[in-house]
Amino acid sequence: MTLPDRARLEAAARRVLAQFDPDDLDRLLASVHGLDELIDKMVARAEDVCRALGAPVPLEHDDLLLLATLTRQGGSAGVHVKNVHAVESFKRLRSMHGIAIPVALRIRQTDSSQLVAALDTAYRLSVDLASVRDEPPVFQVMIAAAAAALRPADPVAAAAAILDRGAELAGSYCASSRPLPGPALPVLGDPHFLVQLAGYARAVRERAGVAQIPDPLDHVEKLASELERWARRAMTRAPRYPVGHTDGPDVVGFFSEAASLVGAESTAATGGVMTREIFQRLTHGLQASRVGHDKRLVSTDPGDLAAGSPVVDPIEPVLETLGYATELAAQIVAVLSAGTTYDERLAIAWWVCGRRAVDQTDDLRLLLSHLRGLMAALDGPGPSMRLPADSADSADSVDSVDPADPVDPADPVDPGAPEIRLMTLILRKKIEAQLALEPGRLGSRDLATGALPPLWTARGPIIRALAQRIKQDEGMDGPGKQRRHLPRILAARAARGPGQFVLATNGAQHDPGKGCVTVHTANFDAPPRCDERVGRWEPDVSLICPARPWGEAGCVDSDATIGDLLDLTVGAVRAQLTHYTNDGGGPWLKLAQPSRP
Amino acid sequence: MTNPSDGGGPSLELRPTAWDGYVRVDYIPEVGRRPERGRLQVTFATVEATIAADVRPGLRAGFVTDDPDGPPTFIQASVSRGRLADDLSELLGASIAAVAEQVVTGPGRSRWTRLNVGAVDSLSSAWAPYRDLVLAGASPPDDDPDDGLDGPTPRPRAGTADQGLWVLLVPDELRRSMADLPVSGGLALLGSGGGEDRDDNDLDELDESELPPVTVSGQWAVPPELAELAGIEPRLVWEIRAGRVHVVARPAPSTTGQAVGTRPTALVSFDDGANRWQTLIPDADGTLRAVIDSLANPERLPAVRLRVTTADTNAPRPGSGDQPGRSRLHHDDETERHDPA
Repeated sequence: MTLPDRARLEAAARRVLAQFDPDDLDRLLASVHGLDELIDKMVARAEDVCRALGAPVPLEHDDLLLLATLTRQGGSAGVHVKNVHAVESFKRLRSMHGIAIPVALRIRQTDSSQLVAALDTAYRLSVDLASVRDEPPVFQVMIAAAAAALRPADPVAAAAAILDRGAELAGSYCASSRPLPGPALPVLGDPHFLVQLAGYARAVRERAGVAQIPDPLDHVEKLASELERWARRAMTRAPRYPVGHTDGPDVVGFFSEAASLVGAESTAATGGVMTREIFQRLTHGLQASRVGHDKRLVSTDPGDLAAGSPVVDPIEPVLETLGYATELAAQIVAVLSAGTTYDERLAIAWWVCGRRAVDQTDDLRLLLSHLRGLMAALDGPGPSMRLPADSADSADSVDSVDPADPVDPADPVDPGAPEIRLMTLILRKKIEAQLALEPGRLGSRDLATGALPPLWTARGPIIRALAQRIKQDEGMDGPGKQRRHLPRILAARAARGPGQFVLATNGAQHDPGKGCVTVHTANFDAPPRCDERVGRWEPDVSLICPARPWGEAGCVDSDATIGDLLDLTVGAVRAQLTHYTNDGGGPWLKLAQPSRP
Repeated sequence: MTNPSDGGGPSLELRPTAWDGYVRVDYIPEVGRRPERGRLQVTFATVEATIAADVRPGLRAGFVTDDPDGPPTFIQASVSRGRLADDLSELLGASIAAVAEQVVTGPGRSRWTRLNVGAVDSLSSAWAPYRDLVLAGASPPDDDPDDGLDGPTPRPRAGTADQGLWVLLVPDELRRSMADLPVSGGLALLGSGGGEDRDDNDLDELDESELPPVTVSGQWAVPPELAELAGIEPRLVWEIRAGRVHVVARPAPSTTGQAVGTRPTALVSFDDGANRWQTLIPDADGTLRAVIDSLANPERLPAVRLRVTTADTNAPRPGSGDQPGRSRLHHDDETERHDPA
């Protein structure tokens, strides 16, 4: 028989690896010397599997074939040493008709076929629910898991019914005079959150026909107090999977218990398939890669930028060429997608392609981090055009990142992947349009700034929103007033769009009489803060204007304007930042670094 | 392999905050009552610590304890005859009000919706006075000596309203004074209809010298931005005259020469949910005055709301004219049209 084309298998290997979480990928790479060797071994094993099968493998099974060459048992991972295991694994994956690759990545050899089917159902359900309903994703994933565990004939209808019923029960409960759970700071400070989980738990039992307490609100009350007990336990237990700050509460542990409770695990209705297990698999790695291990974010050494893309020829600074737009677009995409998981790359592509809703908090930290890396890569002394690939010396740019964080040379991002191609295409078209409008005037930084879509329409509300997220991520929530302004300071430092920067200086904002609507800040002695830009007047990039709209490059805050915002002296702003930095900082440390000395 | 339009949706965040904008809106009909009575609830999904309190009869509001600028994470409001109080639908904003209408109409009594950061911010500014009230009740007086660096900033903050601002004035002193009055001189309890026009007409003609004498008086500080908008000095005087509460403002010096017709409308009312707004009307020397009443027990006198609008926000909205429960609103329209021009 003829083996599949080697290039075809290599492409499939890259596609599969690109979907691994960085931590899982690290474990795979530990078994080999670099990405190329891993791909070689995978392809060789895949060819062995094809030989053993003695039958051609259809194109649509390529990804499963390459995935089947990998083993991830316990702590070790790598390519199957024994061909028979890879063959078994492939047969098993192939027998699960049309299993989603993200699910195939998460299953283990010991999983029952019931569990695998439920996982696949739950994954598809969570994707479907996210596109048509407005519940917070954590509730949707939990109910997707619980509904899948019940193995209903129509999973979407079942999940929707549970979500609707659970919401109604929670609403009725809160409107009744029944007791609300006490807050268990800071895992769950708002009792209504627990009541909503309890409402879903009752709704799942009603759906499964195992609700044993006749009065629904009596049942919700009982379930809520059980959840409260788990929340309090999470407070006093060291987290096994810390989220954000390491000495925080056991957030992941709590949600696993909550999934157990919501999913009626103790009843026979689920046939032994556990909601908790499904929920944990679907959420695996997400928190770790987003908040805990941020070494891969903001980590782009401009010298290595071409690592994930084809060989880049030095480009003559002739701005009008179409080749330039193509090259710049490819470079931007390579930087933005460096060191990302598949999910993260989709979130970035969603934004770059203009499909992300403006003024939403989703994925903000991720997008800001990668945008910061891009701006650092584009940054160079002087106004001359600099391609990221040229800027070998931009390590001296302060906006660039910790030199101890080189880009991972084993980055498997496949330049042919659909999300990469789409991002590149859209950016290229926007850059070409700008070049056609203003030939020769714009540098690569301006072009990139102009080609990226907005993340927000006003900075003020985003700063307030980010501050509350930072409190969660940094463990600054809950009682205690020490450093209570720090989240706002970090948020004001972090809220920078393309081309925008902040300075660690005493500089005051420009005279707000010029084209800005102002608002009073906490500091009455300070001039009112720029809040919204009106008219056509554009401040010089060096003028500090906190209200710069999207697409307008320049300085958005200094230590002095942040101080005015919060009624703090410049010294107090710096003292809080210094204290934070000397403590080692947290997940938001890098995003709060100023742009220039 | 999926393309970027698949697998979309926000990534999983185990700990949503109020600013993420996930909101559940419920309508709970009251059992055993006429079907059109019930409660509307608005609940944000958040893991932040919150505190809730009754801010006026028929309205409970909760806020995140350590977010001085956050939205109301919990709102519970009475609904009668299938309608929210007019000022409440304004405070809730268009997107929540639209969902509220859906759940009140049914059949689904609960619905999740997603607000963007701009909508959360609007809601936060609209509810600022209630937030300050609830959070002030939550925290003991700030006497932490180590806190000198940060400096607490306790000043009354104005909330935004449709094309204007509003503020909540806490009537501690007024309440005590009212309670101290002899029974016969107690607050005149007027019926809900008919009184307002008469007051306006009275005031229209009266000089201060012709008013009943002041029994007791006091004043409230008004946020500077609101005073600026209204063209008044940043304080409001209250007077008790013949058992009724007069609210008096003096025009800011810079605006005394201003044509009266161009001044934004300043309205004042007890915050008892009845929405009986009285326009502050200038007398001969420009002093603005209104007389307000409440049906409440003097000892539990509600707070006073001052509202300044730059537009005729009380104009009937399209399609609303024939709905029940609008009569009070129409009444306000009358008062506004009588505004001396």
